[in-house]
Amino acid sequence: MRRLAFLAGLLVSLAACSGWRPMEVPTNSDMKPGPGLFTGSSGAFVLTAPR
Amino acid sequence: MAGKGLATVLLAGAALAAVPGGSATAQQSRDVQRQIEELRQQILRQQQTIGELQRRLEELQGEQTRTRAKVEEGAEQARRNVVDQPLVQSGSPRVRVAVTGQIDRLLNLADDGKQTKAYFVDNNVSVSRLRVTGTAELSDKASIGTNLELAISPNNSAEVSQIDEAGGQRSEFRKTEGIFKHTDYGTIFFGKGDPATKDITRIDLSGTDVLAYPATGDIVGGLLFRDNDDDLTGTTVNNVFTDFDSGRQDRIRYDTPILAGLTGAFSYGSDQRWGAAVRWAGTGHGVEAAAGIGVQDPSAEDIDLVYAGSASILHAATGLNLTAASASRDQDDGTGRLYYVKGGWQHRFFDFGTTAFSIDYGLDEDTPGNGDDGTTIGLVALQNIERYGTELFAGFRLYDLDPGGGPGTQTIYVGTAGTRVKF
Repeated sequence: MRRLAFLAGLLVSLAACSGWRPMEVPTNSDMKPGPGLFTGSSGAFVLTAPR
Repeated sequence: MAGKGLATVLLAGAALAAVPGGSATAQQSRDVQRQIEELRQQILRQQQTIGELQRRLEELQGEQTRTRAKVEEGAEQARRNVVDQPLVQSGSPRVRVAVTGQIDRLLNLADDGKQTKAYFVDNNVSVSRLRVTGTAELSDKASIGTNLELAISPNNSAEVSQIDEAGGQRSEFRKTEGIFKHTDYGTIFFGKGDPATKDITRIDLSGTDVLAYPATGDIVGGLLFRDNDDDLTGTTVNNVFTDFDSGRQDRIRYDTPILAGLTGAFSYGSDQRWGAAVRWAGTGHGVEAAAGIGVQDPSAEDIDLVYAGSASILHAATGLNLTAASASRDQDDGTGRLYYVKGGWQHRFFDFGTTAFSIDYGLDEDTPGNGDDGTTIGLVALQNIERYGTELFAGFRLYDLDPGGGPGTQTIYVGTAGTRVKF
């Protein structure tokens, strides 16, 4: 647990460093955003309310 | 016509002027002048008429232009109504429903020491699926969402083995959850879905994680090791080559707002399972970097807590990247450990997408039992076809198990070709 706390502190320190712009954390579980074969650039069939 | 009349009058005037005479001649001259004046007035009236006709013509031309513009606008609106509007619409404003999905299939050519076979499987690393998400915006900062994600995974690679090549039909609701999000206060997930520590060892910027990631056994997880007598053992590849990841759970999860790329998550779910994690991702100094760590209680027999984390860095200019992961599982019988490292390179050889290569090494200790050690090495080449959401890939991997107390086993070699297509 102490090692975990150390690593968490390291992450916080990294985030506090200047020169970094936030970025979305990549995950394997979710499908990657972006174009789809049939769905085009949005990557999704989107149904919306009439504006 | 007016010009011709004027010429006639002028000729007549000239003729009269040539005739000598007194008052009669003067009278005739006045008549001619009067006629000339009348003709001049007539010409002026005709000029006015012509001017009015020109103005009218211009007005008609303007009306025609406006009418044409209106017709074209009406036609465009009709086209938008027919073509661009979805066939199904929500009656509520600020609502968005999206349907997405993917297929991810592999052909594995596996040599288990006795025989070599081809296995056609669904990739358990990132299974084929269909997803329907809905989002209702309450305000610029708050939204309520739903997420239904169904795995449609026939012949899942975690279930196909030498004795069951038809495998199983893994059709499960991966996610059935409500999502309450506020940019200032964070996000609450309620229902079945990812716990806080899901994928905490799988933070990866290499671009090859569809075939090479810390749960190295997933692509052929159901295959059984053979002992040195060529007999099948009861130990599968997945039993050994794992990253102790927490599966999806029925839970409630809270994610903090993102602050400087940093976010925390906590979840508590069925069977008293809980987890907590911290993640960070940022870009700067010429690189992209991401990392995360977490701890979870899987509430499993003989297992206490699981600690895990991973980090990945990608050098933007060269495409070189490095990924590392580690996990530790406190268990009654030894301590399960994972050490994983991957080096990669991304390059854009073609306009249509990035090409990625990687080589990785994994070591699993004390899994599944105390003294059981598994070693794996893998190579991957992957081609993106970005515009069409398609990845084509091929790889090679070996799995070597050194059982602590049991008989020796034979190394499994696997060549893989596959594709993931997001539709």
